[in-house]
Amino acid sequence: MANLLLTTRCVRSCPYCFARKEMENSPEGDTLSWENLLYVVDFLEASSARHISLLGGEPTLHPDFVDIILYLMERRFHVTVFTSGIMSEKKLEEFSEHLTSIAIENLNFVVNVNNPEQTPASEKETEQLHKFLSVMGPWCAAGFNIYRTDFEIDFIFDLIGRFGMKRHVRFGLASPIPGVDNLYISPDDMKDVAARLYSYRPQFDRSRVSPGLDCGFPMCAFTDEQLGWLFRVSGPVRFGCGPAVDIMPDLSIYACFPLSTLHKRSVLEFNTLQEAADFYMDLNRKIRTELAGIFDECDSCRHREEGRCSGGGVCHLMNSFMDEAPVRLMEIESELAKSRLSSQP
Amino acid sequence: MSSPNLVCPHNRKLFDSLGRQLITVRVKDPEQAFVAARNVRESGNRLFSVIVDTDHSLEEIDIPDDWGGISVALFIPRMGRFRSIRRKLERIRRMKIRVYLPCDDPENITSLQVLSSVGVSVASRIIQGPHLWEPLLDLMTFAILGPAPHSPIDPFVFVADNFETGGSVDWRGIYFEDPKEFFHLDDKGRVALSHHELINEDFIFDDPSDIDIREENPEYRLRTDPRERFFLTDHPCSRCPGWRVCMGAFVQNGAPPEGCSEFAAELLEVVEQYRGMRGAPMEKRS
Repeated sequence: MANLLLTTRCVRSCPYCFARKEMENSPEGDTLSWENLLYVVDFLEASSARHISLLGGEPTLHPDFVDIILYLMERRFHVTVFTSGIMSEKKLEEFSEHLTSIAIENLNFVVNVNNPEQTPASEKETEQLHKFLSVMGPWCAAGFNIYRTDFEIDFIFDLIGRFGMKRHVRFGLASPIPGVDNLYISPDDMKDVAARLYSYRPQFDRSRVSPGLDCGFPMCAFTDEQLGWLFRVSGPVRFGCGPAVDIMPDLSIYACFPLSTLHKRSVLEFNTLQEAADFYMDLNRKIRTELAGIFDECDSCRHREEGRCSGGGVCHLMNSFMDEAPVRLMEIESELAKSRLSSQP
Repeated sequence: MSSPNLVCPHNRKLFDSLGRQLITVRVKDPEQAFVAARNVRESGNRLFSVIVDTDHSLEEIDIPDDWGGISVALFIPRMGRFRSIRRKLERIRRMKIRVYLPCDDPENITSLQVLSSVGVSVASRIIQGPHLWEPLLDLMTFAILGPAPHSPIDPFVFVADNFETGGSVDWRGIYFEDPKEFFHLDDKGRVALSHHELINEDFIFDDPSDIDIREENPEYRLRTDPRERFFLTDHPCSRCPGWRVCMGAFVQNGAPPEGCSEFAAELLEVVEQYRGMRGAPMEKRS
């Protein structure tokens, strides 16, 4: 699956934001042009990919956001938009007029919500979010980024019930950006995170809401009991790590935000999405030959060997190199820079 | 010699005076297209197409149901917002409509790509300048070598499909501007060899019946025989590497515009690459 960034601008400044470094390095107000959109859509169609995720920054800030969605519908793509849901009245009117006639199976919003007490937002932002959900609720699933072990998510069940949102919450782990001092969940805290999430089981069960795990969760962070519950309510859970292919407005491409500065390429260098994904998969493999996973036990872990768990996120591996073996990291980066594209001889 | 196609204004008296001709009728008001088509048919002539040459964008005009039975060349200045045209797309795709946009604005060049990618047949009004050659090169590459299937963007797809190595291709007919085939009449029946000349009242014949003996007219021969027009006069086009996919189509007031030669040469290269990729015959068939 490809992620397409419509703009690097954002309306929020979340403390855990792992896209910040990439966004700060982008030209101010960088937005995707129609020419580049057409190129990417053709590229995906030629790759037999029919699903696209739209990201930012805040993707709805793109001045042609509504037109882009309608265009992608016309091209018969399934679209997922990752948004804060914070937007102007005028933009919301556009949503109401043009997007509410789209089938829910074809358009899906993952609304990244923060706990209003633990990650305070202005009253205006909260009001805007609620207005957005009151219009687009049925198209929306909540997304929640975990950046502290004492996270509280009661408010999410409240939002789901109140605005008729999808009964699914997507949980992401705040990830380290190698070389940047951002908030993230360290490997040592992951068991606490899993336990905290499981402590909400009664609310999940009572509200008939299923949790979904984004990349980077290691399987061993969960007890057998926790895993059993996860599998029962969410189906098979993948404890993987990308590579998700992120395409920037200028058509540069990389595999996931935290690693964006390490091996950036251009979508123009690849013939298909699979070719790009294979390229980054190959790079991930090279990194993992240096360090199998985020825990020492990963090296001999059966679940990692059998592909059920990736051993945590590559961003953690790169981060630990940054802290503990900076010279080796430079060597790896130098090797990565020499990596050739898979399509090249 | 192909049978002439008379490009006429919407004038029933003129239609009646012609009788049993192949006619393309030009109207400004989209709502007049069907009436004009009906008048051509009722006058005993054969309708080839209706040119709707409007100042309104695609966003602003309605596509009436009664366009269903006619071939429409829709000349518009710009597309407009996608949200406003989306609901018209199904109807446009179902009907025999080709949308023409000028190429003097990068936004229009992008609009051609957008429309083509959602299944609308389009053409860039490339004969008229000013030309944005670089964006046009991108458009040409998108049209001919794009990785995903789209509706044709002419003249590029027409050239790619009709060119044979060693031969040449004349694509002005897409714009009703091929003087071998299209004759532009005014309300009085006077005949010009292009729409531009019609506007400037630069007529070659004073009466439509003169079209039947056009080959006897030296000026007509000069306009339609590339050898006479370009090669015997040592015209700059005669030395152009892209001649075979242009044939002087860009010439306005006797001279080629700056940059057209490089553009045509690139077009020829891309077309040959495309023909090679498709395994098309590279030698001209006899």
